[in-house]
Parts: sequence; structure tokens; C-alpha cells
Amino acid sequence: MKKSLLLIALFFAVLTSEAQINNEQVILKNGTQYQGVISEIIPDSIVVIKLVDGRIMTINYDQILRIKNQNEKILSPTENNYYVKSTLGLMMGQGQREIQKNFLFETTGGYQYKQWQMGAGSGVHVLYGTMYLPAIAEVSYSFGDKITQPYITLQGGGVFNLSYNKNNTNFWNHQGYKNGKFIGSNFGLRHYVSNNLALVFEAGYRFYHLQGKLIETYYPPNLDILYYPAEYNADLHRFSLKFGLEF
Amino acid sequence: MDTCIRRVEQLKKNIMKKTSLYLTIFTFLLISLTACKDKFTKTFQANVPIYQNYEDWRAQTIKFMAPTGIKNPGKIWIKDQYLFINEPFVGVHVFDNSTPANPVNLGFLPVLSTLDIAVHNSILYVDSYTDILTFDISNPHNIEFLCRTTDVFNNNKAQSSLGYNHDLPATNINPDLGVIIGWEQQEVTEEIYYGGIFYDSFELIDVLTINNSGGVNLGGSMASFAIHGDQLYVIQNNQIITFNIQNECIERVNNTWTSNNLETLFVANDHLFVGTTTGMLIYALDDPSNPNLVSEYPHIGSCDPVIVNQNRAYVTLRDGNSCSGTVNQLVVVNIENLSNPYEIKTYEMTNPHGLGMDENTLFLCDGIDGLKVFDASDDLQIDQNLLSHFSNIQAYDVIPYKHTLILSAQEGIYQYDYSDLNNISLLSLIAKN
Repeated sequence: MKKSLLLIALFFAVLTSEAQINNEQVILKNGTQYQGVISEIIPDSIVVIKLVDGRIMTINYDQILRIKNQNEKILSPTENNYYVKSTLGLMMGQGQREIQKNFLFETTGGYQYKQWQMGAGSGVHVLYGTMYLPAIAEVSYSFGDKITQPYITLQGGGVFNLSYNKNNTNFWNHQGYKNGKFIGSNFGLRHYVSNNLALVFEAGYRFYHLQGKLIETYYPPNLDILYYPAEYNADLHRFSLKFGLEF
Repeated sequence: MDTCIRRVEQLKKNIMKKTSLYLTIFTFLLISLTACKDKFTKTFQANVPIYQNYEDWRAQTIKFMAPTGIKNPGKIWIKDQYLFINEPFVGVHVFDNSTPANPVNLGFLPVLSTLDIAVHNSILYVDSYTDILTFDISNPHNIEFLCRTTDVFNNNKAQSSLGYNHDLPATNINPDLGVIIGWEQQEVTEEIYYGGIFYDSFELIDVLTINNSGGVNLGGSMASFAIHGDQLYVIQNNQIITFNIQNECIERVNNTWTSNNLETLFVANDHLFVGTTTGMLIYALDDPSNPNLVSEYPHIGSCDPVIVNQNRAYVTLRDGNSCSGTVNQLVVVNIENLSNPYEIKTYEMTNPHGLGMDENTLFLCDGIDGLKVFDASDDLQIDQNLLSHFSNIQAYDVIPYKHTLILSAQEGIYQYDYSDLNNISLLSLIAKN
């Protein structure tokens, strides 16, 4: 994995060096940093850099930790940090009668360790017009460390109906669902606009399992109306699209 | 340097290929997963039917048996000195009522899933779930099976209530599986579809309901079988089924459909008076095999037994039942012109059920308020002419027959002597066991 990342870094370093004459920074594993223009890269062998003072230095490939382009705003995978992400979006799913399009807002925060993010948060999930308060746990993994980087996220947690009515007798107004669980995954793209701010876009799938109890009405033939308790479950499938910011 | 750039280009292509592959797989998965429809289920405790398949059920031999006690008397038919008392879902009890003060239990005819009976000449007609059975009663001491006419009724003909828990709903009803011979309680999970929860269509007749509507025929007001000439009329839901009963095996000849939920039948003046939940229908029987609607007297939604005496019809409406009624009334209807029945007067009652009439004397079962006997010669002052009131019984239906009043009540079948209306006396009680 480390080798792949280094190759990707080298790849972008060369690409950018072709487009413009900019300084690169070669960071060695021992902490030494060199700044200049890379003139030659032989993977698994050497990197040749012309330093800003004119010297040409040949560095063994094994000694290099990473190479940074000076114009790139990189959140270094080696830099551990806290993060906060807020997203707003839409969930879509095939309801029983029509396509369901529901609003979604989430704010999560947590700790970033290298390419991993682990966090928790809350927000608002709207399902069938009913607002739920989610308790979210998430883990994500970023691919690469460039300005625009893909990542995947695994999310899960509970949802709590903000309109819950324990005396509800109408199943279809969804007020009888007390709480539920959800799990899902997202494919995301993160684009840094500064060292501390990134735009994020996520597309994913999530599954909800809602539970509740209702007092159901039954019209027995020839007898008086009967009221009886019933436990209700809903399994919802949602495709989500979210946009937001990450600090 | 060239080597390096080629290597980087190759690397770039590989990355693009892999990215495209991952995106394609991811998109495919998303589309697949979101194609799943939302699913709603509910889990609850319910009454679930116990079935017996039709073959086994019809294969059972029906033989007249020694007398047994009556647990839940239902519809009654009087034939000469004999009483035929239907016990819902179980069979028919036969009594010799030559001496009403001492009715003699002759025997029992076990017929499963029965609710109604009728007698014509020496033939007893008994329904049995979807079928109608005929029996030879020329010797009431040894009744013999004659014929079974199958699939007369729809599958949702009344079901047994054995084991039914009235605090729970019923579900998993599938008539194709056979006759419901009982119920058990189970936890059931059902899928729910938008637009409402659709319950299985069936008609549950249970012991309690039968007690509350147990009719006395031949002048009774709550029967759903009626005979006129060689025709047997049977109501089911919103249709009157006409059978030719000239032969041992009855033959369906016609179905008359209505938009009303039919309840009771009463034949008088060559017309068929049909009590429904929304009104009284009057059919002419000029062509007996094809009842022809003459008129309708509408009323507020309620159960409404009806009887006819000369040019008056008496209808009772009551609440607290499956007919969603909200009133408790006796309605006197003028039927001099059968094409234009109209209300003469309405009287408030407690919880009126069946009623019977002998000349101008009206016998009315007022539920928990017992039996009331009125002089009904003045249509406008019936309530002012209460002759007797038996408030200590819970009366459901009544038939006055040759000065003997046969009364279906909570305790069983009472018989009263009403030859002296000012001194109606109890003759006997066929008590429930």
C-alpha cells in the first residue's frame, strides 16, 4: 500500500512538473527535506532533484518518505487531525406507491488517523415525510492525498422518530415508528479548497429498519370494532446523494 | 526521462482502468439495491384458522343420534308439533312439542358448520358451510339423510368460532384450504401494502352472535331462510338465492343481487320482505323463481328484523352490533301500497331484536329489557298500550304460534301460554346445558 501511494505521489509530481516549473519538496524518512525541481525519477531506484541553490542531488528511492508539489494543498496522510463534516442531500427509494425523495442532513466529527477517519454525529433524516434524529457512527478511508481524493465511508447507527406518537392508530402517517437502525456505505470525493477546508460529495446506499407499535383497528365480521396492539417494521432502501463541507 | 514518463503514463492508465471498474461495480450495486421496494410488515397475535379439507368434511356420515343437551340454541323452525332447533356449527335438535309444557327431546342430527334451517313438507333443509343438505323428516324419530347440494354458498359463508379469541383479529383465511373447524392463536407477521390493510373476507358467526340473533322461524323475524311454494329463498351477503325444492336435491334457479347487505327474510302477502342494514326491500313473487324488486323503505344503518301483519310492516333497528347502528327503535311502516311504503311512526326502544305478531298483539324482544307485549291496534299509540313486560329475561326473538309463545332467550327456549294476554304464563324452558 505504501509503495502504491508513493508511486501515485510520484505520478502527480511528474505530471505537475511537466505542466509547470514549480518546486517540489522531497521528504526523507529521516525528516530531511529538499526543495527544488525533480529532473529524473527512476522508480525503485533514484530520484534526481535540482535544488533551489543549483545543486543537483541524487536520492535513493528507499530513503524517500514522500514528494510534495508546493502548489498542492495536501492534508498529509501522515498528519493526524480532527475533522468535522457537514453534508446536505437527498435520499431516494422505491416506495410502495411512488418514488420517495427525502431530505437528509448530517454533521459528523471525529479523528483522522492517516487515511482513516472515525467519527460520530447526528442530523436529520426524513423518511416518508417524517423527521428522524440519527445517531451516526462512521468510518472512512481515503485513497491518496492529493487535492481531490476519493474515499469510501461506512455509516451506521440509530434513528429516532421526532414525531413519535405512542397513541398513533394510523399506520401510514409513520408516527408510530419509534426508532430504528440504519447501515450504509458511501463513495465520496473530497476536494480541498484550502489546507483546512474541503468540499465533499458522497453517493451511497443505506438500509433502514424501523420499528414501532400501533393500536390497530380491526372490523370483525358481525362483531364490534376491535382495537389490538401490533408491532410494525419497515425495511427501507435508499440511494443517497450528499454535498457538503469538511473542516 | 522518457522511460520514466512512459512508466508514469502506464501507471495513469492502470489507475483510470481500475477507477472505472470500481465506479461501474459501485453504480451497479447502487442501482440493484435501490431497486428494492420498501417493505412494511406488522407482527401481532391473531386468530388463525384450523382447516379440514372439503373431501374429509363431506365424507362424514350424518346419522340421527340420541338426544343431547342444547348448549347454544340458534334458529328454530316449527313444523306441526315438532320443534327443529339449530345449534350453530353443531347440528339440529328435534323436539316433540305436542305438549309445550313438556317438550320431549327426540334426538340430534349432527351437521357441521350449520347456521340455518327450514322445513317444507317432510323435508328438512340445513345449510352446512358451502352446501345445503336435505333430510327426510317424515319420521321425526329417525331422520334420514337425502342429499347434499355442494357449493351453494360462497366460500365466505359463516365460519366456526370454536377456539376464537374475540380480543384478537383473524387472519390467514384461505377458503381453498377447506372448512374452518376452529381457531388457534399465533403470532403472525404480515406484509402491509399501501392503501390500507386488507383483511381476509369471511363471516364469523360465533356462539355469542348466534345467541344475540337466534331466530325463531315460521313467523320469526330473524330467519335467513324462507319458503314460498316450491321455492327456498336464502340470503347471503347481498344476494337472494332462489332454489327449486320440488325434488329431494335442491336446485339453484336464480340469484338476485342487491346493493344492500341482506339480513332477514319474511314472506307475506305473496311478497318477500327483506331486512337489510340500510332498509327494508320488498320483492314481488309473481314469478317465484325470480323475485322482482317492488320498492325499498330506507332507514338509518342498523340491523333490522322485519315482520309483516296485513298492511303493516314492523321493523326494529338496534345499535351495538355489526350493522353499525346508532339507534334503538321500532318503526311501523304502512305497506298498503307495496310500491310506496312509508313510515307511520317510530318508537324508541332499549335494544330491540326480534319480534312477532298475532293479530293485533305485538311481541317484541327488547334485549336486556326483556320481552314486551303490546296492543298494536293503534299504530300511533303502541307504546301507550303495553300489555305485559317480562324484564327479567334477555330476549332475542319470538314466535307466537297457536297461543304458544316460543321465545329465544339467554337462558334457552322459553314457551309461554298467551291465550290470556293479561295473564301470560310460563309453560316450559328448554334450558341450555
